[in-house]
Amino acid sequence: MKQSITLNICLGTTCYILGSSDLISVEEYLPRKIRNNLAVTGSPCLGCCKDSTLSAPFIKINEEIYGTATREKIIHLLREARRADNE
Amino acid sequence: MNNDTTRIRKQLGALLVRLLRENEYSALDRIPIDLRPKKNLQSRCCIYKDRAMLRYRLMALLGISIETEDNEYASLADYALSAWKRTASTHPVLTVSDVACSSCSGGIHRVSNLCMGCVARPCMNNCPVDAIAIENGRARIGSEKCINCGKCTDLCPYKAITYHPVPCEDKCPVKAISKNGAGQAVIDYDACIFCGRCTRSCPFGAVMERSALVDVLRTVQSKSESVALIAPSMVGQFPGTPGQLAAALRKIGFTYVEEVSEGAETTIDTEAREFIALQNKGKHIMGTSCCPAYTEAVKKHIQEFIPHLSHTKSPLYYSGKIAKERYPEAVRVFIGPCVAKKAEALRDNSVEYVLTYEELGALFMGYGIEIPDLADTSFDSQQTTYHARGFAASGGVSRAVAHRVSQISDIPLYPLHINGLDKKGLQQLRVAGKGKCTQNLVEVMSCEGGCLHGPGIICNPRISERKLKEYMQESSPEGTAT
Repeated sequence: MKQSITLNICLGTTCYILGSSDLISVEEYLPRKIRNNLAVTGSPCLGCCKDSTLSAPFIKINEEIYGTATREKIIHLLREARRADNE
Repeated sequence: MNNDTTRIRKQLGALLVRLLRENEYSALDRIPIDLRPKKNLQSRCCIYKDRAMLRYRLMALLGISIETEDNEYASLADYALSAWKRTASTHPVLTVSDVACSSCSGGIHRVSNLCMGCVARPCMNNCPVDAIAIENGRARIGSEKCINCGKCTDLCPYKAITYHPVPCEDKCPVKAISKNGAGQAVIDYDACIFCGRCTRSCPFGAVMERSALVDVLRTVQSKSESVALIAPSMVGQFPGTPGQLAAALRKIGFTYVEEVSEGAETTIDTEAREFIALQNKGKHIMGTSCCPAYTEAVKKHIQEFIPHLSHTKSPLYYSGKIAKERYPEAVRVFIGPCVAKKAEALRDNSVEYVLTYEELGALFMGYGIEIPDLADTSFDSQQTTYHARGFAASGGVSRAVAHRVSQISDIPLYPLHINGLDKKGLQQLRVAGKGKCTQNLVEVMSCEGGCLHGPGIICNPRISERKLKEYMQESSPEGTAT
């Protein structure tokens, strides 16, 4: 049984405006292999934009935070997380 | 819509708002350097051009007309000070940065090195204007003869011929943007319908709106009253509920917050009555009137449709009027997804300023407001109905008018939807103008899909369309408020 992965998408005002509004539905675009055992949730402001908004939108995969998130970047990061699990 | 040009615009807007709030005018000129420091990856040829571009973007956000402004000594702080002092928005609502324009050398068909110089030569033999010759064993298109019909691209068995568009020219439905002798894009404002397609289609972000961000910031910071008039397409554009959005607008300083769908109620009723009056005189094709890019297109390019254009005003107009009656002293600010509304507001004096959702987003970020943390507040306008809220999506206006017509008469209404005013949509409109359509109500939306797909949106329309349906269901029960 594979470990489950949590994907947390920041839906704070700054992240939402700078792109996370488009990421909420990312699950629909994920390949099935990645979708299994994945919990996608929206999150209130993760607090990463306080100093600078330049890297918004932010996401959290398990406990790790990533900036300038896009759909493609999320898919890539999830694949990596999956691979790390398998090793 | 999210790509790097829209991201940069929103981020710059947020920085601008923050610095102006803190009275840090001199820091404005440091933004381009802060954002493109040495030893950083640039997006253009060099960091210096990147920085110059950021400066021009900030000028557009300050509402400056870049093409007519040639004082290169002026600092952004100077511009901000002059922007702070001006008292009204002015024409034109768009501006083009010649530095940003990459002078795309497209708009032509090209033969690539995939051409095999075949024996059949379908390209040469089927070219209607004999523009293709074979040179050195390969097809060559004579650009002076070529009419861009595209026949050769379809016929080449090797797909060796492709069309290279100039994105802004390609998307402009009325040929209002073209290149000058130096190859830079120039807008002909006598032809422009302000649909905003060029602003979002230019991959270099060279076409921009002249923003009223500073004017609105000054308004909400001043002691005088102000009213925000927000369009029904607000759903999904910001996190949180509509009530929280109203609260956020109050928090940045608006005295009152009204929904423009209240004005839409008047549009629905007036338009329905006009429709009935016209049909009673015999069959008449009537065009709706609330999309400003389309009414502008009719007036400038489709004379034959002018007699069909309804005389009813847009929801923005009626909302502006209601706001003036309720709050005579208040400065009115319309907030929506639309670039053409900026031109409409200047034409009708219906409101003082217009912001897009993108620009409002910059204001919220500049104020550091966390919308989901706020408590709901209600709108100052009357609770609106299902149909008035439906204006934000294509088909909504005609559905609303049809519903109202059915309430007060038994005249049958057959709607024609022109969904998206691209070249094909304009042609449909021309045909309808000549009376060659069987329907009697023509609804036109310049943006395909309606306002939720407008140039100034934040949210992916797939999500906002779902949210609009929910919001329509939550509206007050049957019956119009007028």
